[in-house]
Amino acid sequence: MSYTATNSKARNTTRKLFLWLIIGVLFLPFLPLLIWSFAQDWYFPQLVPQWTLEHWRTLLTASTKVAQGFGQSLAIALLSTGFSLLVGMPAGRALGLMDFPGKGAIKLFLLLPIIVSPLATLMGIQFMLIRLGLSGTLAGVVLVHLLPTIPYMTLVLSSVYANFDPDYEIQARSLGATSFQVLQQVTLPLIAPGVVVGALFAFLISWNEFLLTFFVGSGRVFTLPMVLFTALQGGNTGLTAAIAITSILPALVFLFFSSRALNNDAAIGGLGNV
Amino acid sequence: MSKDQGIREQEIRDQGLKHERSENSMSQDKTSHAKTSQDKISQDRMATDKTATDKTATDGVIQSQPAQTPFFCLQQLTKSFRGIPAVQDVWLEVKAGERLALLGPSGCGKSTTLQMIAGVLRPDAGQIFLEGRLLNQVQPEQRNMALVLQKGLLFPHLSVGENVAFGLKMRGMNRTEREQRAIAMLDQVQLGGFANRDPAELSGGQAQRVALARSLVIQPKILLLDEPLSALDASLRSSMQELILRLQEETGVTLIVVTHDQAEAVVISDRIALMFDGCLRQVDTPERLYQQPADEGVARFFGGVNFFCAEAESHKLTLPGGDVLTTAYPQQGPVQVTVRPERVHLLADQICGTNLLPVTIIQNRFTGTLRHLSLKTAAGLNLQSWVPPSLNFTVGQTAFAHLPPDALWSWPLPANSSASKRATSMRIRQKSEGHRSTSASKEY
Repeated sequence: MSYTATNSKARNTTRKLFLWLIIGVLFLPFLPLLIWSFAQDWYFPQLVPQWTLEHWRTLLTASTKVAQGFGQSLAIALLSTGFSLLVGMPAGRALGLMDFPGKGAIKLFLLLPIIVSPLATLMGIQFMLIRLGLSGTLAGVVLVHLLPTIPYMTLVLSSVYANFDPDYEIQARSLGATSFQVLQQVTLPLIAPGVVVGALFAFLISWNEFLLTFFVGSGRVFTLPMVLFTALQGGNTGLTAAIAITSILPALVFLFFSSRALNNDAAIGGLGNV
Repeated sequence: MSKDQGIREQEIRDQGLKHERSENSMSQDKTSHAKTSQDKISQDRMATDKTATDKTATDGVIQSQPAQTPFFCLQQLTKSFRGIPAVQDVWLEVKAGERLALLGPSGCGKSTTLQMIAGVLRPDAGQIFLEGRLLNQVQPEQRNMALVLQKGLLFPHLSVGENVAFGLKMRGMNRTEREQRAIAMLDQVQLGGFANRDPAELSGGQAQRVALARSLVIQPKILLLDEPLSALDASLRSSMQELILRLQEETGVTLIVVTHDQAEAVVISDRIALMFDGCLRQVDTPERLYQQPADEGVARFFGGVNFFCAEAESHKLTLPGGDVLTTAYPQQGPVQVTVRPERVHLLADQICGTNLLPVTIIQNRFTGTLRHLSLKTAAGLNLQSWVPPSLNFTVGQTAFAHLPPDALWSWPLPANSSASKRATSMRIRQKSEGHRSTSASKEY
C-alpha cells in the first residue's frame, strides 16, 4: 500500500518535471518578446530595460488596426472552423465507420491541399474568386481557409469515428432515443474530445494563415498576421512584440479550455492519423 | 369476507385458466395433425391477409380478431447481405411472457434476426408484428423493445445511475422520478448504491447487470438479449442466468435471447428456435429438442451421438443387433434412429425381455459427473451410454443395453443424397400425418 503510494508520488513528480520542461522549451522564446513589449529601448550595454506600457497603449489605438485585425481574424477562424466541422463530421464518419470502394483514394485526395503548396494553386483560385466577385471579401477568405482546414478536420474526425463503437447508437435507439437525441446525448459527448482537437487544428490553421489571406483578401480583408507583417516592416520592435503576443493569446485560451478534453485517449487517438 | 370470496373466485378462475391451458397443450400434443394443418391454414390466412395488411400499413393496425392475433410474430422474414442469404423465410410466433431462445452456431443468422426484430436492420422481405401492429416501418425507438448487447455498452460519459435512467430521460420523465426508478431498478439487480459510480469502475458482470437494469427500467414489451453472457466466465454465467430468469419472472417481460450455447438456451428458455444457415430447423421445448429432434443435424447440435439405420414396421424397429419397440409415431421403411446416450441403460444381467441388446464394452471414460461407455453389439452396432459413475464396467465385459421404448426416436432415412429433397418433402407430409408436433411453422 505505502509502496504503491510512494511509487505513484514519484511518478507524479517526474511527470510534473517533464511538464515544466516542455513548458519551458515552448515558452522560453516568448520571454524576449514579453520583455520587448514592455521595454522603452533595450540595447546591448543595458542589462535591464527601461519599462514602459507605451507599446500596449499604441496597440489599443485604432491607427495600428490591431483591434480590427483581431476581430476579422477571429470571425474568419470561427467561421472556417464551423464550416469545416459541418463538412468534416459526416465526412469523417463515412471515412471512419463505413467501408466503400475508393476510400483510400478519397483519403489521398483529402491530403492533396496539405501536400501541394497553396502557391501553386493560388493564381487559379484568385482568378476564380475575382470572377465570382468574392475576391477581397470576408466570404472569399473564409472559403480559401476551408481549403486546408477541411482536410485536417476530416482526417482527425475519421480516426475519432474509427475509435467510436456505433453499437452505442444502436443501444441508445433501442432504449428509446430518437436519432437526434442519439446524436446529442450519445454520439457527440463520446466524440467530443476528438471534435475539440479537430476544431483546435482548424482554428489555429485559419488564425495563422497569411499567404491565402494576403492574396485573396487583396488588402481589404485585414487579419492579425497581416497587421503583424506590417508592424515587422515598420521596424518598431516593441510594438511588433506586443502584436505577436496578442496573436498567440487566442490559441492559449483555446488550449486552456480544451486541456481537459485533450487529456483523453480519444483526443490523442484523433491525432494518430495526422 | 367479501375479500376472501374475491380471492377464492380469483383462484377458481386461475385454476380454470390452468386447466384450459393444459388442455390446450394436450390437444397440441395429441393431434399434431390438426395443429399442423391449422398452421397451414393460418399461413394461408396470413397470405390472404397480406393485401389487407398492406392496405392498413399506414396506420399499422390489422383489423383481425384479438383472440387470433399472436403477441409477437415473424412472417417470412428474409435478409441477405450482398446477395448472400443470412436469414431465409423465418416464421415464428412468441406468446406474451414467453422466454424464447434463438439458438444456432455462429453465422447462422440469429443475430441478424434479432437486429431485424429490434429495428436496427431492415428485412428484405417479410413482416414483424407486435400485438397485431406491423413493425416494419416503425423506428427502433418506438418498438417498445429493449436490446442488451454482448458488450453491455454502458455509456461511458454517464454515471451508472444516469445510464439506467437514460431511457426514461429520452421519454421526457422528470429528474426526480427517473432517479427514483433507476435506483429501485439497481436494487433489483443487486447493485443498490452503485448509482453514482463510473461505468469504468464496474466488473464485466456488474456492467452486464446495469445493462439489464437499463433495459428493464423502460418496461419494454420484449427484452432482446444478444449473447448477453458469452463475455462472462463460467461461474458468473450461471448466476447471471439465475438473475435473468428471476427478473423475467418478476417483470413478466417477454424474453428473446440469442445464444450459440445450447446449455444456456436450455436453462434460460421455455422454447428454443434452432437456426442453421439462416433457416429455422426446429422450434420446440428444450425437452423435445433433446428427446425428439427433427433430424440428425438437430440431434448432433444437442450432443446426440447414437445414430443408426433401421427398418421400421409400425412401432417395431429392426436394428442390426435385434428388434426394438418404440412408442414414437409409427413408420414404415428405412429410418434413422437416435437415442440419447444418457437414456441408454446398462444392465449386467438380462432382466426383462424387450429392447435389450447384448453388447460388449469397448471403452470406459470417466468424465467426473458421468461415465461415458462405448458399446458394440455382435452385429457391429456402435452405441454410447452415459451412466452414473457408481456403475462400473470393465472394458471387454459383456452386458445388456436397455433402450427404453420412449427414448427411441426416428425419422425416415433419405434413400440417397440425390433423392433427399424428395425424401424431405415426403417427411413433411408424413409428419403432418403422423403423431408428432414441432411448432415450427416452416422448418425446411
